[in-house]
Amino acid sequence: MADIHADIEALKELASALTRYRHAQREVADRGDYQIAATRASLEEKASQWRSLLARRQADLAACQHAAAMDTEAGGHPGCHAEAAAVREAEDRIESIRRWQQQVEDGASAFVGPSSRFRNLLDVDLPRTEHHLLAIIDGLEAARGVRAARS
Amino acid sequence: MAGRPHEDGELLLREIGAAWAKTQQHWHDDMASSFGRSHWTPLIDESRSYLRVLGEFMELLAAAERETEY
Repeated sequence: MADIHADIEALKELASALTRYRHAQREVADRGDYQIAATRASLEEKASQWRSLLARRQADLAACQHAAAMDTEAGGHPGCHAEAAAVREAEDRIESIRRWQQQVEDGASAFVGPSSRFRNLLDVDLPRTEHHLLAIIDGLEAARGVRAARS
Repeated sequence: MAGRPHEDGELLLREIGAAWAKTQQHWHDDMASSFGRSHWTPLIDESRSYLRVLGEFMELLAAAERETEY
């Protein structure tokens, strides 16, 4: 009996596997979207921290330059090279983060289409496929006089 | 699932592929062929395409995090 209806059992298992696949891949897609949001937030946080640091370093440089101007009149000043270098470093970091942010946004734009199609597949096409399979199973069971035992 | 999303997705793809292969051992009439063409192939192709793009994007995100750790 089991061998005669092995195709029906196999189809039921496939239908269940498809349902599990749909839920699990939706979770994968959600995690992907979360990762995008997390990286955007992380980059913005880093940019914000470096902007704050840049403001402090610019203030330090301005103070140094002011002191240098005063000390020059009095006879000399070691210079503000370290402060200037610190400002340049912060500017470079901010620019680097800005470029990475742009790359992430470009990637996100390119990702929208495939992501939308995949979600449509999971939310629309795959349920239809599952229903189609169940209809096939029903048809086979009806044709053979097998009582549907699907939960 | 606890790995990177695209890697988990690839694993799911392999699992559903195995489920389909198992089904084909018992179901190989015209209806099965039609189902394969109309439903199965598009499902697998679209899944594979999405996971490839997702993987590339996840690599970019990881690089962005890594390269901005100062």
